[in-house]
Amino acid sequence: MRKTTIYLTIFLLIFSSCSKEDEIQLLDIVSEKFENLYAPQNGGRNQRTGQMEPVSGEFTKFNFSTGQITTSDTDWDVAFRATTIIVNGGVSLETIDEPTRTGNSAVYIANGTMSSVTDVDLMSLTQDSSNGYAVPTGGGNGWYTYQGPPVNLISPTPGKILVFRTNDGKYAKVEILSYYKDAPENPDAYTDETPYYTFNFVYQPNEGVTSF
Amino acid sequence: MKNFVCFILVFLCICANQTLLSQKINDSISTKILDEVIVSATKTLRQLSTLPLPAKLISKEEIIKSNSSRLSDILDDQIGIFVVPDFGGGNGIQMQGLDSEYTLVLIDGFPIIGRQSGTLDLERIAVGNIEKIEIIKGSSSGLYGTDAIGGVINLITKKTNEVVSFESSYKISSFNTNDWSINIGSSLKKGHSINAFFNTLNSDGYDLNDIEFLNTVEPYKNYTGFIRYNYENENLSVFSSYRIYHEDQEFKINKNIYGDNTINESSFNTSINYKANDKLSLVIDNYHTKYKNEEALESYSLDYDESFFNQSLYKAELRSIYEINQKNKLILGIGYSEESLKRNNFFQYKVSQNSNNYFIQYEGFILENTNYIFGARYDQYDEYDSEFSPRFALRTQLSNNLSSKFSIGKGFKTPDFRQLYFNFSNSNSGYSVVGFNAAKQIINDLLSQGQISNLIITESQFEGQLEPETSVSYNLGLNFKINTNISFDINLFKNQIKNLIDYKIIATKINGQNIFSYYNLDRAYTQGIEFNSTFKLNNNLSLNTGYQYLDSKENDVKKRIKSGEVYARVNTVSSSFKIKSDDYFGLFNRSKHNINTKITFIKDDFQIYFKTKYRSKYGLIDSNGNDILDNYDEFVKGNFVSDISVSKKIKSLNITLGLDNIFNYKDPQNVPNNPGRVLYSKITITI
Repeated sequence: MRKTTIYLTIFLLIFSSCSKEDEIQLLDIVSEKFENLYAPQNGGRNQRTGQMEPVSGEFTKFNFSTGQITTSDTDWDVAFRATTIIVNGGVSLETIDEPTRTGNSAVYIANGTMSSVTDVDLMSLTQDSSNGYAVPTGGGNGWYTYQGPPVNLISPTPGKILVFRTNDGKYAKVEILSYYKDAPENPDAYTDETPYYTFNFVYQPNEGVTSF
Repeated sequence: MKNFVCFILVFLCICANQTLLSQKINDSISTKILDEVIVSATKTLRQLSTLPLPAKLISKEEIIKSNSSRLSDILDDQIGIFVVPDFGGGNGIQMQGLDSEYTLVLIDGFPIIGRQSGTLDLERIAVGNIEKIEIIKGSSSGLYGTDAIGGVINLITKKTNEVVSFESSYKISSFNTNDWSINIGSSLKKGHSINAFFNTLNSDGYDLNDIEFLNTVEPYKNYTGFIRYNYENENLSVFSSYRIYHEDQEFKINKNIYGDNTINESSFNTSINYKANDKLSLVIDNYHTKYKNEEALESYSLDYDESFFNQSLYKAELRSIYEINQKNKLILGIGYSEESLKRNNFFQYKVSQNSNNYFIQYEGFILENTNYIFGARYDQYDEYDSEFSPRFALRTQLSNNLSSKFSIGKGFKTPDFRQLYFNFSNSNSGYSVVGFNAAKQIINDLLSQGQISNLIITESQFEGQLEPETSVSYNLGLNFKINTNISFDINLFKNQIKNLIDYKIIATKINGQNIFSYYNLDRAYTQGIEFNSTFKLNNNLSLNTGYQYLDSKENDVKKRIKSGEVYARVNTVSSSFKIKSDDYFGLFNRSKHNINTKITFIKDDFQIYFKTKYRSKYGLIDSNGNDILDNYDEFVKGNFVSDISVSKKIKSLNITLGLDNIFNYKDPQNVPNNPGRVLYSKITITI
């Protein structure tokens, strides 16, 4: 049994080194951490009057191929506003300041770790629709867990990997690490500022490749 | 005025026993232990030493020694019992790892109500008129019906045998806390006796946070009034009591908004016990209790908010007790109960629950050294399926010093009204909690108003009913009595709970906030071992020490971890990883280890009492967002809390000086019911 494994390993090594030489045109996978993506919103519950006011404010857009925030109306993959995450694909829920979708982005949430999610499950990809965003809102539904009083913390749910199809049909995976400025190890909802996303992402720049 | 009739052999016997005890007051302690009796275990007077169920008595002496004025103080001293703050307010108990809502608390056999969020606040109950506290561990639904999953705690009030008795005490402690009690009793000719008790407690409260207005405990004052009447002759005894409680708390939320919270409680019972002949007695109980909590928020401008919680309970029970012979006893009972609640944030203005019950209990001997109790109870509800709760207990005297006990029982708890009818929205963050029975209509209404953005649960899931939580509890104990001065107790326990009620998200509103509702979760268990020992080193010094190991987990979480579905993070900057079975710590707010030690030194009229309680680390929150408590979450550190008191008796006066929490353990965020070090002084006069 062990011998088989060794042979298999050797075979795979040879094979993988061969394929590297064969497909030399493949671009390297990008693996980066993005820190403090600031995504504020206006409205919500008014602290003074206690009244609900309509949510507004520009979404902070992000582009995986540049690995940077963008203000482009078309060339973005994912956008953030407070705890809400939208993709550049599907239809707008038409909240105030919500951008129109121009691309073909989609997303799903995989259970696993950054290293265990290695293949894109194409069937699971969803776009924003009139029924709701592809990344469900609300604590415990999508990417985060909300801990009620007394701590009132928003923590990214462990084991939730966001798998994206980008605007231009490539793939990326994201693990959100923190919602608080400078990603403190033990955030305090009363003193640490929000919403500052810190996340790890892996971007597959090669057209049509669905693995990372 | 339906409360005319009622009760008990039990109380007749208590009285008889109290006479016995007071006569033997000068005898050795061992004689007294043999004579200890308990009523809660069987609803009849029963010798504790041969009882097959795990039970514990807290004597009047122990209550006095600990200088406790509230039930929470004295119960917190017991091994395996924790008084834990509930974040909805109130300090409830945790026994055998089960929450406050699973333990029935009774005064003279009748339940105390007013569990606003499930927790019964033990601070409400003054102990100045309590003769003893009986604790039965393990499911007792076979005798008591709903809520007795973890067991029963019964407070027996004092009844005098003297022509006139008088006792008054005053205790002053830190935070300007004043507690004053008075007990007056009179035993009149022709079998009549009357006892009255009054207690008042006021305090400035304390503040452990930096917020300008809100204090951790706001200033409060409360009063307890209690009066009991007894009549006895050869074949008839009557017991009736009336209890009232009033509490008032005023506070300020900010510069403009101030609030007022009041609690009013009253209960009345009548029990008549008719002894038909040597073998047969009939007991009729009648009990009516009300609990009312009102909170008003007012502001100098316009905002005004009012909340109320108005609960009432009526119970009646008829029992026949047939003593076949000295060793065998049969009890048959039939009962009725009616509970109702009016509360704001409810789906309906008034909700109620009625039930009938029937029970049987047989006590007997198999062999000379082996006795048993078999009991079963059948509870009929309109809203739920009927519950059948059997119970069996067996005790064997293995040798002169060694005895063993085994008991198994089924327990249940019906969903409380909140879990069925709640319709609550948090005004700060906008989330909602709705009861199971209310969910369908509330969701439908919101859907038609276009308020729902995401429906997570289909309507059909609310077609059925929320099932009562049920449990099976096992207790296996050994008792070694090496001699009159040294004894050990070991008890292994396990409570397996099914249909545990939890809440989960059922829908998301268009404002992004969730709607939660209750549902029957899979299963959970609590299990462990409890050890108790008593050493009387010499005439002056005695030592009592105990240990509890507790393991409590949700079966479903264990399964999910095994199949690799649960992830965790060390902190927010690290990536997540799959957790292992060992990483699951268990249920929230449970410590694995608990040690209690009490040392008493008595010389003549002088007494020193020292006690210390260790609670190992426990978790209150899931800090890494995976919904379970794992080793990578934040924990409350293990801690010791030690108290000391010194008392001196001078004629009819007893003067005490004490210091609680000597080492000033404090954790404001996690343990808000601990104000830190408390200094007190108490003076008691007994005539």
